[in-house]
Amino acid sequence: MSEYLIGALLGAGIVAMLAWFAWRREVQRTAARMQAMQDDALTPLQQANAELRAELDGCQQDMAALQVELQGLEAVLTEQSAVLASRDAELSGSRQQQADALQQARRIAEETARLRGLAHTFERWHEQMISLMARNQAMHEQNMELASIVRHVVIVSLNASIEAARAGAAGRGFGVVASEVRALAARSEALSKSYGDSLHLSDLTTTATFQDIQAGGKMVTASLASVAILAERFEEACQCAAA
Amino acid sequence: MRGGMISAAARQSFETVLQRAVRARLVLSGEPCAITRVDVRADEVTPDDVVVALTISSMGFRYMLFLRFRGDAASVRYFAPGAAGDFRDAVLELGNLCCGAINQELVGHFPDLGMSTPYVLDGHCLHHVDSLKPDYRADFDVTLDAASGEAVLVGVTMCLFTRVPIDFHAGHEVEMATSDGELELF
Amino acid sequence: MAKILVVDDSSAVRDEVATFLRGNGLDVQTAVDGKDGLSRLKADPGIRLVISDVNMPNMDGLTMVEKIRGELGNKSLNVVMLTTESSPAMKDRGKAAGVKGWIVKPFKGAAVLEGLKKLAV
Repeated sequence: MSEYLIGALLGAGIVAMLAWFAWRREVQRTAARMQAMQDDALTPLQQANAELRAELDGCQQDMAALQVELQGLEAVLTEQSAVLASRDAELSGSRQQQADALQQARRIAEETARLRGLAHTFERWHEQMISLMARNQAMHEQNMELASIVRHVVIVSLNASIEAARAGAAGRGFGVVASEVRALAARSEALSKSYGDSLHLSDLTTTATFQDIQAGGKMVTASLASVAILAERFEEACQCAAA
Repeated sequence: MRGGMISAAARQSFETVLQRAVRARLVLSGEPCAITRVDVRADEVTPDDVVVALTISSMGFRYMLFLRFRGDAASVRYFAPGAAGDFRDAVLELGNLCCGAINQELVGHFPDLGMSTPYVLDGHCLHHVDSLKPDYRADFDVTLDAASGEAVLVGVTMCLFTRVPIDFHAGHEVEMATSDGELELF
Repeated sequence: MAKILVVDDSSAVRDEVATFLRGNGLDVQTAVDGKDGLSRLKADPGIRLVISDVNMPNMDGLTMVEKIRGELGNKSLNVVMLTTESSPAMKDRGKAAGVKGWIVKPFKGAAVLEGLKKLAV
């Protein structure tokens, strides 16, 4: 009986060892299979992982790029703010200039409006010239009267000479006086003619001067009127701009 | 005398402008009108003569116009047919219109012109025009053939006094007729 | 029968314009200068239109218009200038003074009659 037991035990032992080797082999095979299965499952995972990593790298690069861009934009923004600030300063500077220009425009308009008063000066000169012409006219009339008197004197002296001749010797002295009066009258007549001539020259010169002043005055008033209108329009434009 | 300051073109142009104004304003009903240049004014002045003097002033120069109207029957009939007593007034106004036409044409070439009102002078005053020492002077005889067959004579003298060189070209007739006589509403 | 006042220092012009207007059924008065014109206006408030020269002794036409608007306080009376002056500066001065119309001489009645009649209402 004990040989059977030992034999059974040995047999069992051998079977167990065989079974253990087989089991180990199976386990190894399963392990290998599992390993292979794991590897199989792992590869796509690894691939996916690698892809994700790549994507992540890509995203990180993008983010880095975006950050650079952002920094760039921030720099631009700072620059623009600086520009805006200086523009604001310029704007308030130019507002100030406009206000100054408006003030200047007002003063120009006031001055030109005041200068229109020059028309009164021209009116005064006009009146003075008219009185000068009137005086010339008076002198003409006086000269005409003188000439008429002189002509009358000539006639009277002629008559006197005739009477003197009629009176003969008694009238000789009278006749001499009559001749001298006639000679004087002739000189007066010549003088009156020459004086009349001078008056004509004076008339012409006075008229020429008078008309130059009159026409010149109108020229100046017309120019001033255009300037005054320009000044008013400029003032209005400045007001609109400053508003 | 500064005659050299007035260019030949300007002299010609001033004369052209004058002749145009005479034809436009002294010729009352389209009668034939002869304008001849004369060098020496030799004829005697009569007491009936009416000389109308006008001045146009610009910044650099002065222009004087003398129109010598004869007081004869033909002139009176032509210029003042209504009443002979108005002959003086009629020719004063004609002088005003004639010089006005010159002024209107010149204002296109020289800015800021002013014109005087007309003034009557004695015929003898014309003898003294040279004593004013014009830088340029031109005299013309204007003969109008009135419908009645009579000849109406007008003496025209233009004088220029200048301190600056003058040069301009009078354009064509077109420049004269702008809005003449129309009522311009503001 | 609108009333029109013609102001000009030249009798030739006063006669020409007045005769023409009267011939067209209008009632016309005349004055010899700005001062005379003002006194006529004061005397006759029925005047509807003033036709005036610019260059006149004693008081020129534009000064007269300024006084019509100022001293007489009449802002509605229509005034037309009849003058040889044609420069824009003169016309601007007229506009500023309240002038309604401008006619450059010589007076051509037919061309302006309708316009004047309308202003004289």
